[in-house]
Amino acid sequence: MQEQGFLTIRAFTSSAYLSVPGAVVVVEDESGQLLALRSTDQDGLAGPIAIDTPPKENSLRPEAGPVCCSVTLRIRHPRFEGMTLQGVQIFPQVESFQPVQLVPLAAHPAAWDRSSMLRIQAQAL
Amino acid sequence: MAPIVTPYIPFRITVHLDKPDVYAENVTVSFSDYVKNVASSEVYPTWGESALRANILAITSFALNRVYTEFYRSRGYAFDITASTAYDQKFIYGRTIFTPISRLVDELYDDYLRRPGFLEPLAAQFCDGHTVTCDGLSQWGSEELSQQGYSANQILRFYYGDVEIVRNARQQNIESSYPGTPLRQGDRGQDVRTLQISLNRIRRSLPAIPVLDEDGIFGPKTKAAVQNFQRAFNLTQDGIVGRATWNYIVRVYVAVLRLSELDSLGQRIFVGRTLGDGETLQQGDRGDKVLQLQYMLSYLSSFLPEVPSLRPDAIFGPATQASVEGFQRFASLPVTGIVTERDWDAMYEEYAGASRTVALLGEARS
Repeated sequence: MQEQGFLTIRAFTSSAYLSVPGAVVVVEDESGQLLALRSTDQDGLAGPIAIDTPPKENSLRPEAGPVCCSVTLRIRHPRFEGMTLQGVQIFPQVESFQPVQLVPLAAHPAAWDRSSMLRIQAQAL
Repeated sequence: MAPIVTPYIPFRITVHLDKPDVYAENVTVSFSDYVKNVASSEVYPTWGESALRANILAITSFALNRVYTEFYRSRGYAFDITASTAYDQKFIYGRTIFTPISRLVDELYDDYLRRPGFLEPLAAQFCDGHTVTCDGLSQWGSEELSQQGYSANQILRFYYGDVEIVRNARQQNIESSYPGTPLRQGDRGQDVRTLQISLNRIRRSLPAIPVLDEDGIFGPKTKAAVQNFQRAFNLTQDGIVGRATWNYIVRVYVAVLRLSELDSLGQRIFVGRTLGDGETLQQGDRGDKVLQLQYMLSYLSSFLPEVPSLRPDAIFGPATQASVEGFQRFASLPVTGIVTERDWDAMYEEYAGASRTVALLGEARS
C-alpha cells in the first residue's frame, strides 16, 4: 500500500507572527505536476495535505532508495512578495510543518521584484 | 563582557549563514527553533525515537558549547555559531520542520550533555558514519543502535563514553516568568490571568483565538485558546501550558507588544516622504530626521530579517548604521551605511507598503 506523509503550511508576516489569511498555496512534485491547491485560513494555516511518499524502510538504512517525496511550494498573495520553496521534504507517516514568513510589497512595487526562492538542501546522509 | 560562570539555555541564538569569514546574513532565532532546524537538517524524522533523542542532545550540547565558550564572540564575530557543517552544524533558515523532531526538542531543549566534573556543555562531534567517520556520534550508527533497542543514554555513552545529561538547565531571561508547573483546565490564580492577558494580546496575530475573560480561571475557553495557539505553532495540542508552550506564548506576546509600541510611536512621528534635495544622513548625525529614519528601520526590521532592529533615540550611531546597511543589502542598493535621497525613498516605499498591509490585515479581522 502506498505510504503517505503530511504537509501543513503557516503563512505569516512580521516577527510578531501576524497570520496571513487567503494566501494561495500551490504544491507541485519535482516534475511540476500539481499535487494540491489550498488557501490559508484566518490563522494563516493550510493543511494537513496528504502526499504520497516512498516506503519508510528506505530511510532506515543507507542507500536503500529515495527516502522522501520532495515538493515545490508556491505561496502567493496580492499584498506580499511571492515565495517559492523547493526541496520541501515529505517523509512517510510524518507531518512536515512549513512556516513561511511573507514580506509585504512596497507601496509601489516594481513588477520584477515580487518573488523570492529558497532551495532546501537534503540531509547529507 | 563578563565571563559566563554557569551554562544556560539562551533565549535566542545568532547564526551566521555561511563560513565565519565569508560575507553572509546573520539571523537571530529562538534557541528551540534553532535546534529544531538543525535536527531537521541533519537526520531523518522517521528514525527511532532514541536515535532522534541522542542526536538532538548532541546538537543542543554542541550549540551550547559555542555559546558558553563564546567561541565566535571572543574572536570578534557578531554571531554565536555558523550554518557551515565544516565549522558547526547544518542550519537552513526558513526550512521545513518535522513534527516528531519538533515535539522531542520541546521536551529536551533545556537538557544537554557534559563530562562528569565539568561545567561546560560537551562539544559533541557527530558525522554521518557511512561516508564520513569521526571521533563522535555516528548518525547512521545511532539509528542502527536504536533499532537494536538502545536507549538514547546508551547510544550517547556508546559514542561519547562517560557523559551525563544535565536536565532542566537554567534559562536566560524568561526563567522567572514560567510558573514552574504546567497550567491546565481547573487551575486558578495570577499565572492563569497572565496567560489570559497574553493570549488576548496575541489575538492580533492569531484572530481565531477567542476573546478571554481575564479572570484567572482556566476554563474550557482558555483551553480552546491555548489549543488554537498550539496548532498555529505546531506544538502538542493538549491545551496544557507546559514550559514549551509558555515560552512560545511569551515570545509571541513580546513580539506583538513590540509591533504595537511601534504603531503607537508611529502616531507621534511624522515620517517625511522624501529627504531634502542632496541631503544625507550618516553616523554622528542627530535630530528629527534621524528619528524618522530609525522609526522606519525599526518598523521594517519586524518584516525583513536582513534589517537588524534598533531603538529610536534620534542619534545616528553604529546600530543605526548596521540597520541602514542591512536595508541597503535587502534593497540591492550600494552598502555605504550613509542614507541618501535614493535610500530614503526606497525605505519609505517599503515602510509605507508594510504599514498599509498591516492596517489591511487588521481591518479584515475587525
